[in-house]
Amino acid sequence: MEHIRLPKVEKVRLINKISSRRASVGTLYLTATHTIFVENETEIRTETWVLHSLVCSVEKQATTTTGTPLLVHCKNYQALRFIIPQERDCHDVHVSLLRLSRPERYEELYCFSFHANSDKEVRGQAWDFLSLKAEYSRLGVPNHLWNLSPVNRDYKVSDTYPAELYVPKSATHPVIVGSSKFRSRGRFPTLSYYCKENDAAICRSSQPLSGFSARCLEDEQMLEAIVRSNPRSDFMYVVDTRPKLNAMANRAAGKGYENEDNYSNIKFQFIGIENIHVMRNSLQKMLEVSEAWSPSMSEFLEGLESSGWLKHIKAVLDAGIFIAKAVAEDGVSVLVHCSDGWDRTAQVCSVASVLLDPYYRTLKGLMVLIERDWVSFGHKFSHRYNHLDGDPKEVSPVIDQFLECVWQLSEQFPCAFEYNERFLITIHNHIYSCQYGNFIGNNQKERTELRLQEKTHSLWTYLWENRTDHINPLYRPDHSQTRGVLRPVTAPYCFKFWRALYNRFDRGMHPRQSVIDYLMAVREETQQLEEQLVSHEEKISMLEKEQGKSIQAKMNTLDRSHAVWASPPSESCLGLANTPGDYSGLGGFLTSSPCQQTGPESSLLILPGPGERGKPSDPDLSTNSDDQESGIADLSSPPSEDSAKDPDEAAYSAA
Amino acid sequence: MEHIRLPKVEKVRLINKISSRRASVGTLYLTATHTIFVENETEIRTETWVLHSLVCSVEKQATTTTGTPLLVHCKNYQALRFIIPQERDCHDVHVSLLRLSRPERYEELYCFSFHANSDKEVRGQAWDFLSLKAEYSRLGVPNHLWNLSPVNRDYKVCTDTYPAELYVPKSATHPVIVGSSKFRSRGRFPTLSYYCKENDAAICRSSQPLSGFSARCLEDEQMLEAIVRSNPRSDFMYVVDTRPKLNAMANRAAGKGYENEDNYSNIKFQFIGIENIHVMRNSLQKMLEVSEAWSPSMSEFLEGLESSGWLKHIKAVLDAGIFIAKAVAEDGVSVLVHCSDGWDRTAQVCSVASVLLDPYYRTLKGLMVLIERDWVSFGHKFSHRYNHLDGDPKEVSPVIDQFLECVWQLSEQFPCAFEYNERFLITIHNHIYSCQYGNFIGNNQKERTELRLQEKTHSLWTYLWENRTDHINPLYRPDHSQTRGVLRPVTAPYCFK
Repeated sequence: MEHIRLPKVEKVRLINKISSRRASVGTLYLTATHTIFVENETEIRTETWVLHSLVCSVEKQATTTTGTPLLVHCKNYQALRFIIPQERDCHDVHVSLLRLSRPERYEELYCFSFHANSDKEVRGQAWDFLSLKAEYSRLGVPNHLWNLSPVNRDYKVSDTYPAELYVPKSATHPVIVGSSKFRSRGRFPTLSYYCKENDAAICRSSQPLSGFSARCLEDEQMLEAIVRSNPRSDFMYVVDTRPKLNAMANRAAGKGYENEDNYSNIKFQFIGIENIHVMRNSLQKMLEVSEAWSPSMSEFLEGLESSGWLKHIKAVLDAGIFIAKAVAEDGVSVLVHCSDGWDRTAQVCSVASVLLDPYYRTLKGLMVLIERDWVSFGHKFSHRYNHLDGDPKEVSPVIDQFLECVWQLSEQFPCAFEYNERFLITIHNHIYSCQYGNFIGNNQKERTELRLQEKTHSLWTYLWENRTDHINPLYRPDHSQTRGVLRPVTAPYCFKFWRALYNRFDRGMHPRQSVIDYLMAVREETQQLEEQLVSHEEKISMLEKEQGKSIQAKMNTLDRSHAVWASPPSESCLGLANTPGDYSGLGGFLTSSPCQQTGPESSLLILPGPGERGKPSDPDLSTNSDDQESGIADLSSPPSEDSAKDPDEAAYSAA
Repeated sequence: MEHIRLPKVEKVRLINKISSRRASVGTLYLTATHTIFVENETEIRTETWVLHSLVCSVEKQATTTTGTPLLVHCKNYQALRFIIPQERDCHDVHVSLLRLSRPERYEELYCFSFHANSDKEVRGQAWDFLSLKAEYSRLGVPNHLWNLSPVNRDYKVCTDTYPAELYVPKSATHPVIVGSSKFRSRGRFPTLSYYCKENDAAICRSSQPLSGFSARCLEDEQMLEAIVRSNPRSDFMYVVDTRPKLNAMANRAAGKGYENEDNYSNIKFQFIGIENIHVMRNSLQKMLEVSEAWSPSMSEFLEGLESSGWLKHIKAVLDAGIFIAKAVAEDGVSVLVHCSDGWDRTAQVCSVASVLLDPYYRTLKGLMVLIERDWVSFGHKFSHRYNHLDGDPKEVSPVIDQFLECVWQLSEQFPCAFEYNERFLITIHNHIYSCQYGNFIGNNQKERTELRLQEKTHSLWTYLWENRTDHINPLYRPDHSQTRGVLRPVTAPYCFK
C-alpha cells in the first residue's frame, strides 16, 4: 500500500487500439493488487482489471494537449494506452505502477494475498490433487529396471532437482554421485518419461563438464546403466538440443558435450534450438509486429519471418518428434540435455511426451506433465517469467514456446486433445500472474522453503473445478488417429500465427464467432436432451408397470360383464389418462398393450389423438413441451453466446 | 483418339512428394479424357485419374539411370512426378499429353463428351435449376426505380459481352443507354449488379469510360445521374475504380481512363488499388513455387509467401468489397464499380460485396446464383482466364480463384455464417478448370448460346445441388445474430491464413 502515491485519477481516457477515435473516458484506480479502469459513460458498468504482477512495462510518453499518455504493457500481451489529463497525476501513477509491478520479495507476490483466509485443510487437499508419485507409477516405475533414488532427498546432490528421482537399477549410489559431479549444477541423468510397452526411456540431464578432453568413469557408467535398463536396445541416443557451435563454445569453459569415443553404445546428435536470449529477442520482434496498429500484409509477413518465432517453434517441435520417433518406433532410449537442462531440455522432453502418450493430451495429463518436466525439474519460473524485479537477461518465453507447440499440435489434430485453446491460454496467463503458488520460485527446494502449499492456492485445482470451460468439444479419444503416437507434419505451411494468444486483447478484432463456443452449446444441449430422454424412459417404464396393474384390475371387471366394456369405452380412456403419467402413459399403454391381445378392436380405434402417435417417445413432446422448448431455445441463442462473447474479459476481470 | 501415340506404359513409377524414396510402381494409361495411373503392388486397387483438361503443364526432364522423369502440373494444384523407364515412351506420352491437354476447339472439351447420351429433357430441366430472372425478382427488381431493358436483347446494340437481360434505372431512356454504351470500353455501360431492397441503394457495374484526357459524353453523365436518382434517399453516389491510380491514368493516353468529378454531378470518385491480371498471375506463380517446394525452411516459406504478394492481393479485393458493402448498407449510397473492361476486378469486388451484404449468398444456392450473375452472365472470360483452349497465356489469370479465396477467408472468420463448406468452394474451383460441365465454357453469354451448351452439356449446379450433403457446413447457423445481415470482417494481416 505504501507504494501507491495516487489511488484514483478521474477523466482518464483509454484508447482503443483499432480506432483511436473511439476512446472511453473513465476513472483509474490503483489498488494493492490491481489497476482498475472503470468506464463512465456506458450503461453497463465496464471495468478493466489489470493485475500488477502481469504488468511488464509502464511507459510515460510526452505530454500533448489532451494529456499525458501512459502505456502499460502486460506479460499476457495486453497493451493499454491511457491518457491522463494532468502530467503530475500521470507521473504519480507511473511511479506507483513501476514499483507495484516489480515486487522485490516473494512475500509481496499476489499469491500470498489471494484468498489468504480460506480453509487451510481444503487448500492442503487441493495441493494433493496432483501427485508425481502417482504419475510415475502410472508410467510403470519403480519396476525391475528403474529405482526411486533417495540420493537427492535433502537437495544436496543437486539443489535444482526434485527430492525424488528415478534412476536405472544398476546405477549405484557412487555412480550417481560421481556422475552428478561431472554435470553442470549436479544435474545427472535421470528419468523423465518411461514407455511401458517397450522399456524405452527419455532421460534428462545437464551438459557434461567434459571441456576438451575430461572424462568421468561414473558418468560413462551412468549412461551405460541407462542403455542396459532398456533390454531391447543395445544403444541409446544422446541429444544435445543446442546448436553445435554453442555446445563447442561451452567446451572452452570446461563444459561441453559427450564424446562418442568415451561413451560406449551412444549415438550423439545435435538439435539446433537457440538459447534463451535469441528466443527473448525473437518474441520481442514478433510482438512488435502483432502490436503494430495497422501493418500492411508485407510488413506483417516480413516481420513474422524476420522475428524467426515460427522457425524456433518448428525447431522445438522437430526435436520432440525426433525423440518420440526414437522411443516409439525404434524402441531406443534417449538422453536429452542442453546447457543446464532446464529450458530446452524441458521443452523437448515435454513435447515428446505429448506426442508419445495420449494421457498428456488430457486436462489432467497436461497439468501433471508441466508439474513433472517443468516445475519439479527446476525450470526457473521466477527468473524466466520475471516474477520479481531481477536480471532482464534471465527472462525468456521458454514455456510459452512449449504451450505454443501444444497449440500447433492441437490445430493439426483437432480431435486428439481433451483441452482447448483456452486451457493453454489460462495456464499461460497464470504462469505470469503469480496468483497461484504453482509457478513461484525456481525449483522445488525454494518452493518448499517458501511453504507455498500452506500459504497459496494451487492453479490445478482451480482449473479442474472449471474444467467445463476448457474441454475441447471435438475430443475423440477413441479415434484411430488420436490414440497412440501423434505424427505431426512440420512443413512450414502447417504452422499458424497464434492470434488468440498474442492478439487476444484486441477487442473487436477477433472473429466473433467461436466454433468452440458453438460446439460447446450444442454439446450442452445434447446432454440436456439425453438426460431428458433417460428420465422419460424411466418414467415410461415406471408407468408401464402401473398400467399393467390397473389394466389387470380393469380386466378383472371386464371379464365379468362384456356389456360394460362395450358401452363406455371413453370412460376407460379417461381412466387411463388420469393416471399419473398422463399421455405418456397412453403411449406406453399402446405399445406394451396387454389390451391389444385381450381387448376388442374397437377400443383401439376410439382412442383419440394419442392413437396416432405410435412411438413411446413422442408423447414426451406434449407432456414436457416446456423442457423441450427450452432446449431448442438453448440452441438458437445459447447461453454461452453472451457469456462467452469476451471470454478473456469474463475470466480475467472476474479473477 | 488420334492424338494418343501410346495408350499404355508399364512399370512407371509415381514419386511421392513427401518422401521421395516411397514411390509406387504401376501402369500408365492414356485415354481420350484422362491419364490413369494404376498401382501394381497394393492389395486394394489404387488409381490416380487426371483429367486432360486439368493438366496445366507437362515437362519432360533429362533421362537418368532409372528412367525419364515426366512432371505433370495440374490447374487444381496437383503435381505428379512420373518416371518412365524408356525415354522413347516418355517422349510419346509427353507429346500426346501436350496435345490432349491443349484442345484447340470448344468441341474437343470434356463437357461435350461427358454423359453425352443422357436424357435430354432431364438435362434441360437441370439447366433451369437456376434462373437469373428469379434472382433479380428476389432482389426486388424490376420495380418503380429499375427497369428490365431490352436494349441488348440480340447482343447487338450495346455489347456482345453483356447478357441479354439488363436492369437499368427507370429514368434512363434508350438513347441515354446507347449513348453511354458508346462512351464505355466494349460498350459495357453502367447496369445493375445488386440492389438493396431495404434502402434502395444499388451496386452497378460498367467498364471504364472513354474519357481520355478531356472527352465527355452527355448521355454517360445522364446515365450516372439516373443511377443517383434511382436511390431517392441519397443525393450522391460513389464511383469506384478498382485499379491503382497509376494504371487508370496510363489508360487515359489510350483514350480510356476514368470519370472526371467535375463533369459528373453528384459523384464521389475513389480509386481502390487492385492489381491487374498479369500481376495476379505472377503472384500466384510465385506462391505456388513456395507451396510446391519439397521442404522449405520456415524462413523460405514466409519470405516466399510475402514476396509473392498473394495474401496482399486477397486483402485488397476483400477491402474493396468491404468498402462497397459499407457504402450500401451503412450509408445507403449507390456505388458504380468499374475497372478496365469491367469483367475481372469488377466481378471480384461486386461479388465479394454481395456476399458481405446478403446472407442469401452465403447459402449453397446463393453462391451458385451469384457466380451465375456476376461472373457468368456479365461476361467474365472463363475460357480465356482458365485456359480452356490453347490460347494466349497472357490472358490467363486466377481471377475467380481470388474471389473463392476471399469467400474462404470470410468463412474462416465467420465459421457459422456460411451454409457451404470449404469443399464446396474447392469443388467449384476444380470444375471451373475441368471443363466437365458446360457452365464455365466460353467467354460470354453470346458465345455460350451459340455453342448450344444447354443442349449439349450438363450443369454443375444441379450436380452440386444433388450432392449438397457433402458441401454443407455443419456449423452453419443462419439465425445467429452475427451471421444475419451484413458481415463486418477484420482485415488485419493476422486474420489471413
